Amino acid sequence: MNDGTAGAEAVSLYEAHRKVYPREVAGRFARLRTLASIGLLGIFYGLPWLQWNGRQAVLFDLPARKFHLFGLTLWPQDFLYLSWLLILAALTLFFVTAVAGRVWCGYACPQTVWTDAFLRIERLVEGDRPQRLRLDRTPWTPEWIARKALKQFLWIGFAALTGFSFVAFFSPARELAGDVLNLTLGGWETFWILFYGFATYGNAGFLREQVCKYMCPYARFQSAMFDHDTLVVSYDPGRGEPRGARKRGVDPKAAGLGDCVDCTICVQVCPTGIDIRKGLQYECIACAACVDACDDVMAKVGYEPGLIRYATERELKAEKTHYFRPRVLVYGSLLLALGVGFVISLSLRQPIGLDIIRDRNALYRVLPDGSVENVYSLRILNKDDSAHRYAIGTQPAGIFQVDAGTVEVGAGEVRAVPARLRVAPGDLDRAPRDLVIEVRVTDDPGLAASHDTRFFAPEQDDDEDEDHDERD
Amino acid sequence: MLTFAALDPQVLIDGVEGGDPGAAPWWLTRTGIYSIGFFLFWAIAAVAGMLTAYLHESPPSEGGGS
Repeated sequence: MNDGTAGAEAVSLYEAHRKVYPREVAGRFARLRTLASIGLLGIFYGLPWLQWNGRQAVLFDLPARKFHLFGLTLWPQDFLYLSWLLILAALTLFFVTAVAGRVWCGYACPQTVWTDAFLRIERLVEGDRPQRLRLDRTPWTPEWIARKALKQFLWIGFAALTGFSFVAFFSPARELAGDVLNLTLGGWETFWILFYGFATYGNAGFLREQVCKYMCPYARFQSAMFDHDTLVVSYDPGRGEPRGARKRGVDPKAAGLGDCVDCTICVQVCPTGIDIRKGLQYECIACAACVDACDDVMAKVGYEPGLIRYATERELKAEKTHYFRPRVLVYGSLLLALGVGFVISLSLRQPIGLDIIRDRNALYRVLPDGSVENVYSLRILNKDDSAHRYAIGTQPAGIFQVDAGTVEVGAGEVRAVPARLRVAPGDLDRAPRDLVIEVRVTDDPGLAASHDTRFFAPEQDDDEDEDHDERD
Repeated sequence: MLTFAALDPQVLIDGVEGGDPGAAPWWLTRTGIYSIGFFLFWAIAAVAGMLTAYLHESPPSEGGGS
């Protein structure tokens, strides 16, 4: 019954690629995978169309250098949050990997999800594994050409839709759709739709498991997060061996056989084309297709399910699995601390930014009445979604007179405001060199931003100090 | 990421245009510069990977190249 998938054992640096024809599976984990696929694809294709407060809910507006995430608008100045989010995502991956192995690979990785979608199209057009194998044995027949053409047509259409949806996260979806329909698409949008569509087509249609085996960095380092207590998809050799075919109704113990009937279904369903019975392999993406397939066979022959199951190495050795171990606790507490910190920091984030540039022409100006004036250019950044009025003040207060009144800045706008600070002659000796200019929202005094700067004045008497170009 | 946050290509583009909007070619937009930047970083990573693979290879047994 061996269909030749065992293949050559010799390992050369460049293995000739053998096409994998995964067989369709049904069962608990297949259902879970389908659900995850529907949810994730739904998010990917649906999210660009969701509106929020009159604009696209999730839009990474690169041309305007703003990221919109529902009610939140992130600016280049907020890029810390993005790195923070990436660190959180990486830690989550480590944590989940330590506890439950490669669930990411099996259920959530875009490579898995899109390969699955492309496989479904292939199955729809060409049939299940035996039909596909038969079809490919006799190429260039009219049926072969018709089925392959239809498959390519559907694949290319799906890939183009994926490319469009990807670009719609960066360029407003509605306008983009209009541009596509009117053939008025910009050069870069066209390029990215085609490029991303092509990448989807290539990765999910042709490269498939090779991406996981040769290209994916996570596949290479995930073993560093594994230990004896990590859940992995495993074959129970103690129960299954010695494997072998048997007649119905034969007592395996009497025949000297284990529970594995050597039907090779687990090999046929595997999207990466490995034999799980050889033990844990780096190609295994933990999709649990073999678990479903084997449980199905076990039920048919009347054995207990779970010959292939999610199990820890300790469990297979009949030892106790330690769920709370240092690795899990460290990853878990780091994740918790960073996650809580992220939420707190994001909720305390002030949607206001302030930059100060000193006037480049003169350090100071002495006015006819003897008071000294410094000119600054303030850049007030309103990161909020509504317009605000801002009052400009100083710390310490009372010494510096600010001539600029209040300033209105529209939602999501930056406004440059010239501000003159003046110190009366009597106050010059008590005016500090270092001061803080602050900008406060008038209708919400809790919202403020401040910036350190300096105030220059002519030397009072002696004192040899550095350069100052006195003018006027 | 830092580059993308810290660099505003519009400043460079304004320099090229020299105060004459429309003087720049079609691809010279923020999106364009960010796209080219993405591929530049990709190219750097690819070159680094290839260099690693090249250095990792054991020297040929004959000839004595290194």
